[in-house]
Amino acid sequence: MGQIEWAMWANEQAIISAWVMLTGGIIGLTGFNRWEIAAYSVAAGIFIILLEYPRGKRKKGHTIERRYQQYLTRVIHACGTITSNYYIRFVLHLLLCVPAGFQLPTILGALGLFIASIIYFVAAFHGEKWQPIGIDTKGAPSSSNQTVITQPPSQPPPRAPAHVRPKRPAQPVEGDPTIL
Amino acid sequence: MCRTVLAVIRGSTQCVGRKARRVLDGSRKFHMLCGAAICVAAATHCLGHFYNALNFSEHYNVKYPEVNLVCNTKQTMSFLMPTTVPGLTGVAMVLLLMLIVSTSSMAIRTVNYELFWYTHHLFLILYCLMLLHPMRGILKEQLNLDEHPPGCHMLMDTGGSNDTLNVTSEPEPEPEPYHGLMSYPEPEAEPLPEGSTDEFGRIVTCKGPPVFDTHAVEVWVWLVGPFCLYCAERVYRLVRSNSPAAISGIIEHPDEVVEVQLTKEGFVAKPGQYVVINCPDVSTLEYHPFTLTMPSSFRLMSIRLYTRIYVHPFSRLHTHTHTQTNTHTHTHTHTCIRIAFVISDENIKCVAPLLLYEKVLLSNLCVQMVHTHRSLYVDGPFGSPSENVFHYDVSLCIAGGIGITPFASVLNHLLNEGTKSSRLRRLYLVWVCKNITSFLWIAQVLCSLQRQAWNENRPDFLNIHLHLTRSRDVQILEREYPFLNSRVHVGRPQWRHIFDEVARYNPRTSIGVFLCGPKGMSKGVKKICLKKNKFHTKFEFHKENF
Repeated sequence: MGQIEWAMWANEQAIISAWVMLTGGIIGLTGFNRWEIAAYSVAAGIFIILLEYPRGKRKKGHTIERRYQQYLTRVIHACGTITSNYYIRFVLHLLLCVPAGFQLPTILGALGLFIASIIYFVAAFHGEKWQPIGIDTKGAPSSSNQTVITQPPSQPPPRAPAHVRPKRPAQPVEGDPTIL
Repeated sequence: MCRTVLAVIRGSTQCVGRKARRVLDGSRKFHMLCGAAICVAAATHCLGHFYNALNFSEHYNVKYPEVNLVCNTKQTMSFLMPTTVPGLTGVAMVLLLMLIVSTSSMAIRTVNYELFWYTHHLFLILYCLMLLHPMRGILKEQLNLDEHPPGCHMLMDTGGSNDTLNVTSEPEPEPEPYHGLMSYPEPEAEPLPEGSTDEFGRIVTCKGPPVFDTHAVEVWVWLVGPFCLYCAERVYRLVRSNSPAAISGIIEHPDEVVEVQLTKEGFVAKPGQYVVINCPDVSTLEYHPFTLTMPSSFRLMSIRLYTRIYVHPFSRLHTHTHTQTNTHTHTHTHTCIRIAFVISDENIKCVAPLLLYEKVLLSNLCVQMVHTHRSLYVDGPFGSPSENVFHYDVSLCIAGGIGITPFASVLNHLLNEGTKSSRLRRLYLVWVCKNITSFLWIAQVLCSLQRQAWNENRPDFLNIHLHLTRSRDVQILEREYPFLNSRVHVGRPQWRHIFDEVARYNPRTSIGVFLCGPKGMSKGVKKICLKKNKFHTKFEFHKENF
């Protein structure tokens, strides 16, 4: 089937299941027994929608972002490995879907979320991880190669780059252009 | 998505007018709208079933137990759902629908079209489940309404005594106020208990207890027609595409484009139509669309496609061919088998990544393909909006890059049949490309058509605007095609100026605007088409999509 990004499919499936769970939970609050499960289902649905809303970056190629997802991207990225590791998401969705299976209106959302958790497991197995869009994850370059310049240059031009010049205190030396 | 049926309707110009054909252009969007409607209806249906389930327990009918689905008041539908046919099929249908919807989003379709294609075909299982869903039904109806009408009183004879058991059937309507003359029963009627009156004050007795049975299955009435039509179309397409099309030639064009020439017995196509191609060595199930660049008739019977090649260095095949230690010829033969067609975007029609590592192998590959007589399966042709070019007096065709292919077919048709073969009086062509070498794909056709129009005393028939967005080197055209060279503009087209010019020279006319290009271009052009202009020219927008 070519190079498929499982995480993208799992993301779509999780969002749809969360919507179904949310709707089922709202229905379950009106006249059904075990209203606590319905209330839990509403809360879990909202949580999953917020968690899954920012789409992860594809390995290669352009990723179509969802509208206004950049605000949630920052929040999700700040959580670190918990949200970027798909094994954790697989376990999370598996645990979240179990209580919703005990009331009739929320069963369908629970089953959909179960399928989404399986697809997340496959994605994690293929080594995929959630990367934020628009945030540089490579980090600042190490400062070992670069010197931090705190003083203005002490030599008139021509002069070598800062990291080549010998280390000396910033005292102006007059009249000696051979000293680098 | 009965494409053959749509192509037949579109082609029957006597029966179907121009406006009706424009409606057919939106068949894909209509399909998506139907999908959304199915989701909303499924959600409402499920909602109804949830409340049904609640009522089955809370309003358990003690008098007539056979009406109920549950066995007692304590039992809930959560227990019965996985153990009944409607419950299981309903849950399965909702899960399938969720899978289909999740893979139908724009993001998934752009990233991985095959996933969308294969999951979408789960609708066949959905249809079968829908037919099974009402069987062994929950809904009950009463069969003997004439013997036991609502509100009647049933007399039960209990061993010779005069005691009667007043059992009324559910529901009991309020008795209507009596305005008639009769106030007591007929003298020859049997003595009846007091108070047993119907809505007119007459006594109604039941002849027997109510008899219930499951409601008849009616869903097949709605499904069978469209389903049979779709199955018939698919069978027809399978039979039609069964005979392979032989590759008669492959021509390399500049800017990584290859022209594939096929011949197929009995293949006839109109200008602007497209076909879907299957390469069985790559995948037996996948068909990918390509626009025809040459209209085919009974005397020509040739198919020509233009396809762009991308070098794909990370393919598995690349690794495989790199480690091959066989002869050079064998490697080429093996690579020429693995021609994969991928649709990356709905707007980029002719994209076919060839799984090769180096472009220099391409010429050998073409030779190999012809010599090894590889054949492809062609299904089609199907209609597209570009067929309507000939139904306007003035047409404006806008193409972006490889999107020139449907208009190449139109130009070839005009070259074969002459510029006076249809009602088209004037054709404007705006072609936007990145490199100057792209214009060489059909430069010969453009020049020949212009010459032919001159000879037929129609010098203003063809108006060409070529736009170059990236490179600035125009020397190639200056040497070989000076006619085209004078029509090259550097930079993106200014749509307002182009449309003003077209409107000025064609006032008070309906002009067909046909676009085959990227989405950004189509948005800008559509916006201008919808605006009014001072020359009272009407622009009717058509967008090419599969």
